[in-house]
Amino acid sequence: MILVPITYKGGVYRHDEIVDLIADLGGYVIQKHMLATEVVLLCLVPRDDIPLISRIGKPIGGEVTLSPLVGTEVAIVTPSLSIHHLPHPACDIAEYVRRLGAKSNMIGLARGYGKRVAQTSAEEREIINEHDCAVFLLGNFEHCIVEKMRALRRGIDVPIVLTGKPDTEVLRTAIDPPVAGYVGDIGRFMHRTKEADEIARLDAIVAEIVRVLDLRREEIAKDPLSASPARLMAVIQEQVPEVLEVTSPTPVTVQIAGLRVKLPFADFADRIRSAEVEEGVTIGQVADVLPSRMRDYILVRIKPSSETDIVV
Amino acid sequence: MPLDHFVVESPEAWAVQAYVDIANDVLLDHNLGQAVAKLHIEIDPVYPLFIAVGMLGRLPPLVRLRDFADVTFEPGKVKLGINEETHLASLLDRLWRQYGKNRVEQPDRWTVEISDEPDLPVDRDLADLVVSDPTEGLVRDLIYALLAIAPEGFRVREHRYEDGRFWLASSENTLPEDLPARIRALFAKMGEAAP
Repeated sequence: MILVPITYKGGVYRHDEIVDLIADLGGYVIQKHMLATEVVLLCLVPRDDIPLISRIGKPIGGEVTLSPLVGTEVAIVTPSLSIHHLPHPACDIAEYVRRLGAKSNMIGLARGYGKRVAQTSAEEREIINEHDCAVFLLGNFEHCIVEKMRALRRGIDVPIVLTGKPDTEVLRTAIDPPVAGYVGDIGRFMHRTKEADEIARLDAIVAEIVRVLDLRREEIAKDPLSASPARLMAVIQEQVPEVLEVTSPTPVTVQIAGLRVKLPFADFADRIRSAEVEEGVTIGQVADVLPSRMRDYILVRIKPSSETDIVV
Repeated sequence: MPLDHFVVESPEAWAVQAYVDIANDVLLDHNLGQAVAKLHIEIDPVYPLFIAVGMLGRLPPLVRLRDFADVTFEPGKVKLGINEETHLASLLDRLWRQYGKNRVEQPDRWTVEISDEPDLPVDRDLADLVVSDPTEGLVRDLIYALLAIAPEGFRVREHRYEDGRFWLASSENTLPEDLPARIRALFAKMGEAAP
């Protein structure tokens, strides 16, 4: 069964019918937003059942759209958190990516500015590496981007999408060794993105992230995971109910090959390891349960089936 | 933005338009669009060096005591009837520095009294006292705005303001020795003399 990421938008009225339907079809609700009288569900559902969900949602004002970024966690990395980069463009891009389903985290480097002095700390690198991909938002000069990327990319293992003012092709040619993705014509600017051409640049970033993550998914598909991240999310929600009391918007953040569980590692790691996915198979057998560098959260990295000989 | 002269120079063409937009946005955000008459920016990403030179437009007038208060000389004291509180803080600051806190009283929100003693007389031209110079705040805002326009890593900075003309240079390295000549050349491009 191939699960496809979708967004369901509709009224609060009878939306629980949709939630039940998705569960009955074997899908998962990754995130649920209630905004006044509107509800937004980010879900993974069986590909063949999308028309059914649309049909049942239609009479109650529901709308289903494909959202390729649902179930991914993306790091939006800026050289600093100063007025030079915030709120535009960093917040605009982080918010736009989030609107399309990704869980985006903004990471402002402590010393990411300056072409000669730019650097990242071990903690920053480890936090970035906990994501599915990192979008580096750099500035307007090709010369500076080339110099800085040498320092900023060091120790980053996840795919990098680089943005900057020079054209995409210029960036592609200039960066050596290459990174996973490039989006040009979006350097540093100091106003809110609202014009059509600016929104088009944001769409280009999303398209590039989708392309890069699809490549990552293809790579993972060659040696499939021992368990689906969405399934482990459901298991954790069921067997560690304390996670439902966490006030964070995504108490369990689903990634392409893992999860971030927003509970203290010291108190809950063992319970998560021993949570049973199926009879005789625990999360600890199919995944590494590690301390996250983000606060005291728990990072669950799902092992490939070749390593565990288990597929659940 | 209606500037008489607004040029950005850089060896990278895409950066020129980007910095025109950044300068536009920052000056408008800081309400400096009307205050600045000329602005010339040069950015060298290789050294790296950012130089902004320019001229302010019509400077705001000095704020004198008579502009917002009635001054009455009475036996033994000078009474100031405050009409507008905006400049009261800087007025009190000036009076405290000039006459001392023990001689300046504020019996109510709208009145300030200075004790006038024969051996310590209050200036008879007190009404002409310059309470604040709005240009100081304007220049402070302008320098802050120029630092927001400049690339972020440029932490070595120098700036100067004199008689409506200003320049700011910043870099990641020490500023170059030929900086004065470069600044003069940029002012010449605007048809002005450097301060």
